[in-house]
Amino acid sequence: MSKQTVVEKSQEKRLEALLNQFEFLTETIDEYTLLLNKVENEVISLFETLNTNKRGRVRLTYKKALKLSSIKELKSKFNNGDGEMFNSLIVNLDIDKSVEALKYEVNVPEPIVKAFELKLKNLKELKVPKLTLERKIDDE
Amino acid sequence: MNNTNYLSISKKPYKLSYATFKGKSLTSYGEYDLDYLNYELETYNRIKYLIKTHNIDIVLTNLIDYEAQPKKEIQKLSEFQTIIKLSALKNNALYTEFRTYGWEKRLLFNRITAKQKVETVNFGYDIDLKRNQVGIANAIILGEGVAHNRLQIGSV
Repeated sequence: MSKQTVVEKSQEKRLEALLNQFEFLTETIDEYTLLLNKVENEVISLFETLNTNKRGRVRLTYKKALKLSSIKELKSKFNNGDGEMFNSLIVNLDIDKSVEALKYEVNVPEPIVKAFELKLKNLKELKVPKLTLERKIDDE
Repeated sequence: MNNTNYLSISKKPYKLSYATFKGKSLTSYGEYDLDYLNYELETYNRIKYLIKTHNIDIVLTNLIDYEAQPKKEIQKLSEFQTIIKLSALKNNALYTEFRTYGWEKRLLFNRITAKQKVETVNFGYDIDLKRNQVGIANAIILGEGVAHNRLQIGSV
């Protein structure tokens, strides 16, 4: 077993401290996010029932979001579907919804759907680093 | 799928027998003799040429039951299928295999013979295939089955 250098020892210690922080923060944020979503949904529901959109510091606003649509639907919003403006659009691909659209709207055999899904999954080329927290195993 | 281009290839590995469809319409068919010495490369390049020329979306071939094949044929069949799949995927086409046995039984009234296949295809498409061009007839039957949504059992 090779001896660790002073720098490596210090990095290990720092990593341990950060890992503890990461675990604590992730668990806390997950718990509070769940609670926040629950409270938010209930407040929105009551605001709509009571026909109000502001109480105290809390205001109900409607944010505009882009609807998920197929390339065909997007093309119909432009007069020239082969033009530079349309071709400059940057889109994010939803694989599950795309496979569903092919399966149920176009109605193709299952092997072709599977091949299509494989092709779309192979388009994912970027590797993005992400930390995940595994479930705690209680020691008996 | 009316605007989808299919390339169907017969499973027999000694010749490249193919048919192309645009939607449900047969657009071309043919056969290449494959060079014994450059077999793999020639097969790959012929399929690439067909994919690029006809803007193929999906390459189709037969789903093979290897247990029912003669032992000496298995390696050749497997090699041929692999080259088709490689050429399809490298040239941006989908690759699928379909089982045609049930469809052929229905189409040919349970008389699955080379003569019957060629006669049925000649009659249906008003073309003039010879008896020894049964590979092309197989490719047309496969492509037509997929294009008309008659085939469901398959694999990728």
